[in-house]
This record gives sequence, structure tokens and C-alpha cells, in this order.
Amino acid sequence: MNTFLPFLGTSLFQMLLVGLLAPLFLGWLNIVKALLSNRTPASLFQPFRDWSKLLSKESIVPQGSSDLFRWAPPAVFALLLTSSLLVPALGTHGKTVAFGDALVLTGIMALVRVLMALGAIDTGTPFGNLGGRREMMVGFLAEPATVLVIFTASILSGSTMTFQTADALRSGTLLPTPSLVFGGLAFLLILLGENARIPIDNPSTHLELTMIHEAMLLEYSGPSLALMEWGSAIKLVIYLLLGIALFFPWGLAGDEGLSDLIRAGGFLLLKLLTAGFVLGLLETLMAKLRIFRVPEFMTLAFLLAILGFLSHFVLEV
Amino acid sequence: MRLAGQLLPTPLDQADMALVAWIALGCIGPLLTGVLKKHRSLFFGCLILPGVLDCMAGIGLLIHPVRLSRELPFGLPGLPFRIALDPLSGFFLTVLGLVSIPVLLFCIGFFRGSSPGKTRWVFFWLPVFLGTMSGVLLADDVMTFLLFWEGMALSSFFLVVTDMQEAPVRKAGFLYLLMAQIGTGLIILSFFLLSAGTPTTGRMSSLAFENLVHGSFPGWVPWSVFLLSLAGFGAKAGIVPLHVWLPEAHPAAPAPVSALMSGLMLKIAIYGMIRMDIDLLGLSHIVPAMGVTVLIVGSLSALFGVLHALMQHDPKRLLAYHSIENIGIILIGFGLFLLFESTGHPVPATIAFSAALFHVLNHALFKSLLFLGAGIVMQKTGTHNLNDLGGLFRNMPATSTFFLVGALAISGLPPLNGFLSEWLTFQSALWAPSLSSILLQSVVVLSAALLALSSALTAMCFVKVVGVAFLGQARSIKAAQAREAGMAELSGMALLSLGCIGAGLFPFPALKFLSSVVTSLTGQSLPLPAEKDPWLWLAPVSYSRAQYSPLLLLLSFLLIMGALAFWLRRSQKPVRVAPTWNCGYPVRDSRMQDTADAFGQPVRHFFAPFFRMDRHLPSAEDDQPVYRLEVRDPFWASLYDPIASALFFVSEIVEKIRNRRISQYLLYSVLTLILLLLFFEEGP
Amino acid sequence: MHHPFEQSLIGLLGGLLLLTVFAMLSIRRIFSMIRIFVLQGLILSASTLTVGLASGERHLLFEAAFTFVLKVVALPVLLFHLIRRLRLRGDVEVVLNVPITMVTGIFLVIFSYAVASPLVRMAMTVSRGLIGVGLATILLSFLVVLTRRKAMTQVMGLLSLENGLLFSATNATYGMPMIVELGVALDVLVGTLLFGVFFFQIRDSFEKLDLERLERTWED
Repeated sequence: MNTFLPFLGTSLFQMLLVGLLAPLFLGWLNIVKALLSNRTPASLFQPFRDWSKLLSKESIVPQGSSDLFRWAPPAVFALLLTSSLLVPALGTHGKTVAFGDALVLTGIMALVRVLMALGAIDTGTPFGNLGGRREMMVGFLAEPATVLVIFTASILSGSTMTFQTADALRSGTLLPTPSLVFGGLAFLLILLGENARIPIDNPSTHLELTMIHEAMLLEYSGPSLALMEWGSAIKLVIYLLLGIALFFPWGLAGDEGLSDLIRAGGFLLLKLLTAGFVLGLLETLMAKLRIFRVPEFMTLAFLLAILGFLSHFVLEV
Repeated sequence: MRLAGQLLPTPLDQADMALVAWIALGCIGPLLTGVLKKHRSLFFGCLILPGVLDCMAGIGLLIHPVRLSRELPFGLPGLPFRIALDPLSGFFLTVLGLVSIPVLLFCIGFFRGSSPGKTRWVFFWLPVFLGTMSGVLLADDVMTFLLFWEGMALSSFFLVVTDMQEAPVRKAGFLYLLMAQIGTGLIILSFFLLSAGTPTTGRMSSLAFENLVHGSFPGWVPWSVFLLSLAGFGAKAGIVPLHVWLPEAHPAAPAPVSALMSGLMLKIAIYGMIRMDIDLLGLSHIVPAMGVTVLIVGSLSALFGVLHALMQHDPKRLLAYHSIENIGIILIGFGLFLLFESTGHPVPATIAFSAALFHVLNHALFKSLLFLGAGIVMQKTGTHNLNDLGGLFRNMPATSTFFLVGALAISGLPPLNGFLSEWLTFQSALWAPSLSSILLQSVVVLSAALLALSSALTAMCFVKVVGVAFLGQARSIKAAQAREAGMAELSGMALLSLGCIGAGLFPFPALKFLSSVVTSLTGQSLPLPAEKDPWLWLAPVSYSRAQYSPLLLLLSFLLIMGALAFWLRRSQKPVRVAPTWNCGYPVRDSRMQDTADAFGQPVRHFFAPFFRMDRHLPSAEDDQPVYRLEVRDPFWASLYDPIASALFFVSEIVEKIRNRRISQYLLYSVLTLILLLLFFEEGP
Repeated sequence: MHHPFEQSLIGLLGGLLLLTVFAMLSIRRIFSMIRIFVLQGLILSASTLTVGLASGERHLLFEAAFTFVLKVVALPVLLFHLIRRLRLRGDVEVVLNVPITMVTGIFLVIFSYAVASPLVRMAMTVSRGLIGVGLATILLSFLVVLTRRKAMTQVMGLLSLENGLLFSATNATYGMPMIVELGVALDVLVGTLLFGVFFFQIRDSFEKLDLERLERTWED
């Protein structure tokens, strides 16, 4: 029992941290996008306001849907919050209950995707079907690429545990190795695809022909919708944290003294602000791809990931 | 211990008893149908007992790994039959027992309404099928092995053609029989090569397995034995391109038979492959290129199987293609084992071997569950077409839930069992950098990538099945009026679901069992550290390299879920059922939902070279516009049709030669004689 | 072995070079293709410079400068000029199924890495690990030429092939003798000019810069 009981407190803190960072990050991303397109931005806390309003409303369930539709949002939310234990946010010495490695994380993400798609199909509308089908399509292309990126990083560090990987890569030189450059680029594409960002999906549209993620959420309302949206925001932050752990681990705390942790918190904030700015910039500059170009985009991610580990074998031994 | 050994029958005795009991019950089964008119189906209940015995025998042997063997008092003159039980066969025997019990339980309900003629047939062949399968596992000499192997092929053939008044069923059956016979021929050849390499201490007794072990061969023999066994057992297991019988035979057979064939018989073929290559041929003859061959065959089978599964709308055909995929996954693990073992890396080799064996168990559990679920759905709705189903979750909640468990398990999603074996395979593939050449490294990592791709595609495929069949609106009246399955069927499926969940949540004990199999074959043990609570954490090699605790994952998930549910109930948020928003469009029909074929469209588009598509698009001038799409297996056109036409060509020539007069026949004989004499010039 | 920083820098540049060829494989617009070619020249000259600095071979420094002038300034200017004259602006080309081309490309990379591994053991240069990358660049450029229909893009493939050759030579033996390289570079320049002339000829006779038409005329 003592293999996880002492870590319950820190685990709870980690979940809380990621759960609260998620809406803040979304707010920041929206601010960046608004500023870049010359709009007056909403407050940083807008997502909080939206969701707290939704949480106080009633839920509308479409006729003929089964229990799966009703239980998908809490399940998705719970899974995503649980998986936040698998990525280092502040320190690399793993004081949370890290119940799995990065491959387990991809497994949970796949489970989340399946649950979301099933919930969407359960509505019995063409939109739900369309969203679910497209989401699975993006998923089957992104998943092997993710596994390969994890392979590259873990071959470099000798472990698939994100905490260990970050710890091993933290002390490397500042000049990235070719395999990490390829891996990082691949991961950026995966992050865009997995989190329904432009150019794969447009989070701010409800136009039938283009939406993927929003099409799946179309029938959700009230608390269910809030949980789904909050979950998606958590997913984005988890992917960012994973990216930070694998590719920008400097600044993460090592031995977890309090001052170390505070410094790591500062770095985390800085990195997230930068990431939000880069994402906002990308979303403003790029146009959405045609749905049949999506496979090419994701193949590129797959290819970069393969080039990553090949370069490691050839150039870095 | 000694006392207990005398009181209790040994595992070999138990397995022996189970084998005899099954075959005996098979022989009296058809007679019983006349006597027990009303409670015919209870006969299946009697068949469970030998299954329990097999389970006990297998588990007993895995706990105390030994090799037990015995000569049977009967057999051919000078060729006594020998049976034996070692950890490898013990493991497969356990799987056999574990799967046969719930499937037989399911049968009690499933065959209740069917005609006496049909059940009499099944009453005979089903026990014989189970008995011969366990016989293959017990066999300890070539004759016994081949005898039971053929018995297994025949009994499964007759089970496939249970509904033989239908022409497609007969056709499927004969295709299966043909492929099975080709496979057997190749297996006999490889046994022949093996026995040629062993010291001949009495020609006859050399057919016992222990005399075949570790022969010394000229260089080409190990490769030939390896390739012949890969093709021979592969034809039974369904590797690409020898898979063509699977998608035909499975839809034709009754659901429990499909479950047994896919869940167990394909595994028996894997058993044969392991027995032949590792035990008989010996690890010293394995070279890295063999591992690479298995890896490539496995990866291609995995990808090919799942791609074609995505194109199907007959649930059992779809599941058959998934069997091909899962055999591919098992072979990826097996190939990694051969590759790492032959290059001198025991740690990843043992991980890969455990992963392959673990996937054998997992696939047996979830695939039989899925076949049973599909069978019950087809029985209750009377349709073979996914596109006529929909919304079954409301009428058949229990069946749907069990099917969902199976679907999540086969998709390789945590915390169920399918994920674990794939995770272990990845852990083994992560040792790629220790290999010497870039080619080997690339093959390993690319096969891992293909494994990830096929498991993601599997998830897509089962979102399709579950979404189209169980969720949404009913697409036909039959689907809307379907009723829940009976208690027997449900309890069978419940047992299998529990198996999937249990194996997923407690991987450490399962792997501990497996490690005795691995140790008995390779001499190395699985590096499983157990400093932390062993029932909670699974870590191949070391905790800092990779660890996984499915129980903690589930616990954390359930806690948050519980908190959310509590909060939602406390705050009493109203839930209102309302019509779905229809975008202002006045008509909303259940036929506007995606069909199974629509769901596969992106994959069809993306992986076009893997399919042979025949598509008819309607044009504007058509009076009755029709959209027709047929997706076929490319191997028929590219491999089997040429072979068939070549055979016809040859037989026509032979026909010409045959239609001659007697004198010419004599001429042939004389010529043959002269030829033979030429060859026999240099006798010993 | 004594230049860890230079070595990792060269490795990184080699990786980026490979990336540019893959980009060429997947890109549909001629304009972006030339931009990528500029990038390729930049990477090439930077890596030549680094190898030169690390090994102390003086002539490599000249060569880096020369590559820069030719590949980053002269040729792109010439190509952009050609495009403007041919009015190819915004031309979009149908590429053979991109994912399949990419996967083929991956296999080519693995193949060339495997083929190059004995060479790597023989060579004595600081950057010998990159011979495989150079070979892969050459093979991938061939793939670019093979999968394209338009004359202009095929020329781009040939130019990138020449870059790959140069890269391999630099990393395997510290480059060819100066005079050879100058000769090759001049050839490329003249070749491109000649291609330009041919383009005008082809367009005048067939009204399109599509080589498919050319093939069809031969078949008739």
C-alpha cells in the first residue's frame, strides 16, 4: 500500500493544478487570437464563467439515446483528469501516483476518443456520426505517430516514464539533437490534430462541413457540455505538458525543494504563455485543411517521427 | 505432498480424463437427443465438466512446472501413442478450458430453439472438436499429433457446415477444408524434415517428440522446417496470404462454433508453431532473419486484417478479419522474440514472448466474447447486416454492455486486457537500439508502428460496430423489436467479460503464470521486479523504465466519476428528454445515420491500394439511380485465381494425356520404369 | 570525435536537409518548392562551412561561400525569373498519392542508411555519419523527379539531387577537388539556363509545360 498512499496529496494537487490551468490556458489562447485579429479580447477567466453557467443549467438529452450518451461526459472528464498524473508539471522526481508511462497515456487518450465518438454516434444524427467518424480517422493517423515520438524520446532516455525521460533530457546540451527536432515537429503536428486545432479542425466554427470536435459535442448541453469542454481543455494542457517534458524539460524541478518548485512554477507559466502565443499565431496564420488533406498532414507527422528515430540510430550513436 | 499426489490425479491424468470424456460424450451425444427431448440443450452443461478439468490440469501444471509424459496402451503396431504435458501445453490447455466453459454455457441457451437434426449434428461434432483440440495439445509424438490435428480439422469442418442446406455455407466449408489440408501437408513435410535430421535409434520410436528435439541438420533444413511450419500452421492460424478461408468460414458457422474456432483453434495453430520452432527445431537453429520474416508476416497480417475488417458489414465476417489482425499481433510478439533471442538479447526476448502468449489468452477471451455477442444479436434480429441494426442498447442492455467490454478490450484500450499485451510488445520493441544493424532496428520499430496503427484502426472499427449496431436509432423493425438474450447466454458472456477485466486489472499474476512457460522453453525468466506491491504494479525490467498499474488507473477514474455523479445528484440538475435538433430540416429518419460502409469510407480512401474495389456511381440520367460498392480481398485476384487457372490448365493437359489407348498407357509405365532405374543406379 | 558541438550541429543540419527533400516530395506549388530549394542551399552551405571549420580544410570554406552565392542567390533568382516569364505563377501540380510517396521515401531512407553503414566505418571525416543522409537525399530527389509531371518541378528535383551529391562528397571525403566542384557548379548553372530555353520551346510547341503530353506524342 505504501507505494501510492504517501503520494495522494501531491497527486490531488497535480490534478487540481492541471484542472485549473486548463481553462486559464484556453482563456490566454483566446486572448492571443483576439489580439492578433484586432478584436477586443474577453477576460482570461471567460472559460470559467462559461462553464460555471453551463454547470448550473439543465441537461437536454436527445430522444432515443442510451445511457452511454449521459455517462460519456463525466467519464471523459474523469479519465482526462486522471491522466494528468502521468505527465510532470513541476518536478521530475515523480512524487505523484504515476500509474503508467507515456504509452499508457496514449492508451487513455484513445479510450477518451472512443468514448467521445460513441457518445456522439449515440445521438443518431448525421452530425454526430460525421464527427465521430472523422475523430476516429484523425485518431488512427495520430496514434502511431504519437507512439513513435514516444519511442524516440524514450530511446534517448532509456525509459518510457515521462518523469524519467524529462529527468534524463533535462541535463542535455541546449543544442537539440536531430532526433529531438524531428520528434518535436512531429509532436507539434500531433498536438494540433489531437486537440482539434487549425489546420485539422476549427474550434470556433459550427459549419457542418468542417467540424470534427464540435460536431461530436453538438447535442450536449448544460453540465455535460461543460464537462466535455473542460475535458478538452485539460487534454490540450496534458499534451502541452507532455511536449514540455519530452522536448523542453529545462526548468523542471529536480529534488523538489520548495524554492525549486516555485522556480519550476515560474518556468511552467512562461512556457505555457509562449505555447499559447505560438498556438494562437499558428491558428491565425493558417487556414483549415480540406478533410482529405488531413491524412497527408498526419502522415507527415508519422514520417517526421520515423525520421526522428532513424536519425538517432544513424547520427547520434 | 506425496499423499496429495496419490489422492489427486496428476494434471496429465486430469487432461487425459477430459479428453476421453469429451470424445465419449460426443459419441453418446446424438443418442441423448432422442432421450432428453425437452432438455436437449442441457447436454452442453455436461460438456463443461471436462473443460473445468482441463483448466485445473493446466493451472496445476503452471504452478508446479514439470514435464509429465505417458505411453498410451494402444496405438499403431510398433508406434505407441504418447501423450505429455509440459508448461507450454499446460498454458494452452488452460486457455482451452477457460474459453470452453463460458462458450458451452452460452450453447445451453443458444441451441434451445434449433431443430433436433441440427443439434444432433452439433452434439456429436462439438465435443469431438474440443476433445481433438486438447488432444493436439497433449500429443507427444508425430503420429498422435497429426491424428488429433486432422480430427480437429474434420470436426471443425463439419461444424462449419452445420447449415449445409445453404450453398454458400457448403462452399465456405470446402474452402476451409482445402486450406486445412494444404496446411496439414506442409506440416507433415516439416515433421519429415525434422525426423530426417535426428539420429535413427530405431526408426519408429524416433517419431516421439523427445527424439526429435535438437537434431543436427545441414544448413538448409532449419530454414525449410521454419518456413514450412510458418506456412502450414499459418494456414490454420490465418496469416496473410493464407487467410482467405477465415472470412468465409466464420460467418457460415454457428456463433459458438465461430467463437471456439477463432478463440481456440487459431491458438492451437500458434501452439503448433511454437512447439515446432522453439521446442523441436531448437532455439540454436533460429537466425535473426527468421525473426524478421515472422515480424513482417505478422505486421502485414495485422494491418491487412484490420483494414478489411473496416470494410465489412457482416459482424461475423468483420470479426473473422479481426482474428487475422490479432494473429498478426501475436506473431509480431513471436517475431520479436525470435529476433532478440537469436541476436543474444534475452531480456527483450522474454518480454516479447510473454506478450505473445498473453495476447493468445487475451484474444481467446475477447474474441469469443465478441463472437457470442454478434451471434446473439444476429439470432435475435435475424439479420447478417450491420446496416439493418441500430439502437440495440435499449432492448438488449446486458448483451450490449458485454459486447462493449469486448470491443474496448480488442481495441487495446486500458484498463482492459488487450492493452496489456500490446503494451508489453511495445516495451520489447523499445530495445531496438541494442540491435546491431540499422535494418533490424528499423524493422522492429516499424513493426511497432504498424502495431500502433492497427490497434488505432481496430478502435475505429469497433466504434463503427458498437455505434452502428447498438447506439443511435433502429434502422429496421427487426432491430427495434429485438429482445434481450436468455440467462444462459448472458452468463456465458458475463464470464468472458469478467475474464477480460480480470486479466486487464491483475496482469502480474497472469504474467507470473506465463513466466514458467517462458522459462521452460528458453531457460530465462521474465524480469519482473516485485519490490512494490506486486498485485498492483506491473513493470517489465524495472520501475524506472516503465510501470503500469491498471488498478490505480481504475481507482482514480472511479473516484472522480463518483464525485461527479454525487455532485450531479446532490445539485439535482434536471434532465430533459427532447427531440434531436434537426438543423431546420423537416425530415429526420433513422436511415440518415451512418452505415457501416460509410464509416469505413475514409479508410477506403486512404488505403486504396489494399482493396479491390468495384464501385458504381449513379449518374444524373439514371431512371433508378443506384450506388453500389463492392470491396473484395485483393489476394483472390492476385494469388488464388492464377493458381486456380494454372491448375485447370494442368488438369486439361493431363486430361489429354489420359485419353489414349491401352498401349500408350503401357508406354508410360515403361518410360517411368526406365526413369526410375536411371535414378536408382547408385544404390547404397 | 573532438568536435562534439560541430558534430551535433552537422547532424542537425543533415536532418534538416532530409526534411527539405521530404517537403519537396509533398509540396504542390512550384513557388514554395523554390523557397524550399533556397532553404536547402542555405543548409548545405552552412553544413559545408561547419565541416570546413571542424576539419580545418580551407577549400571547404570557399566552397561554402560559393554554394551560398550559387544556390541561395543566383539559381533562385534565375528560377523565379523563369517562372515569371513562363507565367507559371500559382501553378498547382497533381502529385502522386502523397502518403504512399512518403512511405516509399521512408523505405529509401532506411535503405540508404543501411547501404551507407559500411562506408561510415571506412571514412575518416568528422562528419562521416552523414553519408547515409547524403545518399538518402540523392535517392529522394530521384523520387521527386519520378513522381512529378511538370518539367519545372522535375528540374527542381534534379537540382536537389545535385545538392545531395555535394553533401555526400563533403561528408565522405571533404569534398571533391576544387576544380571539379567548380566545374559541376558551372554545369548546373548552364544546365538550368538551357532548361529555361527548353521550357520555352516545349511550351511553344505544346502550349503546356506538362510532360505527359510529350510522352503521348511519342506514343502516337
